Amino acid sequence: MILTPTAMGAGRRPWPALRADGLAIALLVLFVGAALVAPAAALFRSSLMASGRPSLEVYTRILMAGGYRRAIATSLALAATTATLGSVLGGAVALSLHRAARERFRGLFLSLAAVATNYGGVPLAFGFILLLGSQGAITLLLGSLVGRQIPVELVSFWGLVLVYLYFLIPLCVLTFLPALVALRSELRDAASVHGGRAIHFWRYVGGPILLPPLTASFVLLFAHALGSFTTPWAIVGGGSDLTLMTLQIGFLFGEAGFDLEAADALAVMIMLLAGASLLIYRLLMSRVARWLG
Amino acid sequence: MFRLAALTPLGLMALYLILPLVATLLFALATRWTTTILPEGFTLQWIAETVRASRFAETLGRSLLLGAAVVLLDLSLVVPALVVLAVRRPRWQFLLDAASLLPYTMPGVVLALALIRFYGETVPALLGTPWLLGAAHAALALPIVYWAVLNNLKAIRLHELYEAALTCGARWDQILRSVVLPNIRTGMAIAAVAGFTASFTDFAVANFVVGGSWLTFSVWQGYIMRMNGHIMAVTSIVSLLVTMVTTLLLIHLARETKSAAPHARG
Repeated sequence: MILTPTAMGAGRRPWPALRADGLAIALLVLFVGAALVAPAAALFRSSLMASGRPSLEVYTRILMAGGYRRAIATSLALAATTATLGSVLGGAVALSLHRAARERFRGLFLSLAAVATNYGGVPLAFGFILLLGSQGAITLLLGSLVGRQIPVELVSFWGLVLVYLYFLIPLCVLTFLPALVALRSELRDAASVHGGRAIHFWRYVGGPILLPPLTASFVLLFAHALGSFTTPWAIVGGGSDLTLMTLQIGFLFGEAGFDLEAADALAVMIMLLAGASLLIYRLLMSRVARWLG
Repeated sequence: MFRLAALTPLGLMALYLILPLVATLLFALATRWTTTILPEGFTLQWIAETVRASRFAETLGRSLLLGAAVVLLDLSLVVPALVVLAVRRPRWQFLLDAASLLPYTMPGVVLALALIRFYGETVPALLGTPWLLGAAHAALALPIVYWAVLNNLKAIRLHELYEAALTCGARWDQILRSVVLPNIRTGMAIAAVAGFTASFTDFAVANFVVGGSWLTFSVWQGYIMRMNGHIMAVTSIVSLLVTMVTTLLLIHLARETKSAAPHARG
């Protein structure tokens, strides 16, 4: 019999008794349960109750009612639009960085991108208001170029798209760039040796390699955009009929204090969509890891 | 030709990322900037006014303290549990991995709603307290801390180091002090910086969980934005500086992880 180190050490009890082990794990499990699982479960439960009985009433109501329904539709459209634009533009930027930029420039650009993804919320919204608000510098500059007032509307669907892209494009660049390592130059050489042109390379080699990580970035961006609250809150404020699921949740339990079941149901819908996105993201990334490994 | 074609979009993108920051900086230093394309003049008056504002030091101090407390709480929850798991290698670790991903399905406003609805019914005394906010931020930062430490533990193959130390006759406290902790320092540092940033930059959770009763720096920013744009600009520059310092630290630490091989001290 071969004695493994564990077998030799087992008798000497070099690790504290099982009780301390259990304690370390129990504390973490307890925290996750108290701060995440139980509150989330409570949301599910209360969103599935109507006058004390299990029912889907809340969901049918918010899917029918004008305001909530509009918020859901706008949120989904905004997340889909920004995730699409963000991953396409982010993918293009990552590709340019990968192929053309010098090491030094790339490092500088990536630092800027990392700062941009982390710099969000109220300060970011404020920066955009300074540029594109009704008295914003770019608004005035464009106005003086054209010779009349330009109606730039930051408090609009496309205004939000522009601001969201500020943190979504860099997020896509940072998550997608590592996957580009799989696009080795030998692959391109091999394709051209076999007489493949650029279009063939992208159709049969580059595209299939890069599609999974780019889709993964898309899913990540979608979940991120869907859950964003602070940026639209600071841009839209009150008094606009532009509304989102997160803004509705904030309004219902932060200010109004009524119809909290609707807030619960909206929150559960966000959780389910974000959960599905996360699942897809992990599946795609495990496939990407095979290519990189 | 190709280089130029590729660098132009990169330049435009960099411009898009920098412009809001430059506008904010200019507004923080501008005497007046309302109807002109560029500021009318420059002054340090707003910086002085911001620093003198009673809320400035108070909220900034709170947010820094909160971030530090959140990191301490998360590290003391995560490190012991993950070290035990790495040594014992149980098959159900994936359950804990999955649980640590939960916060990603709960964006700030959802987490805040969940906590307030749940504790409003079970422990109402917790509502509006910094304690609940600390727990909420610890939950928010949990995946960041968990995966930073876990990745580090995987990279150093703790299990093998542990068995080697065991064969040498080391006691568990010696193993912990001289083998485990020195080797996961970088992972813990990454966890600390990234976890701190998550807490410091959060607005959604803090706004709903404590709001005006325990103003954090970013919630104060939410108020000040509608009151005085110049002071708002100065506080934004403070946020930018914090973000830059933490981001550069993270980049530096990530580089260190790549070059550092596992080593044991003592």
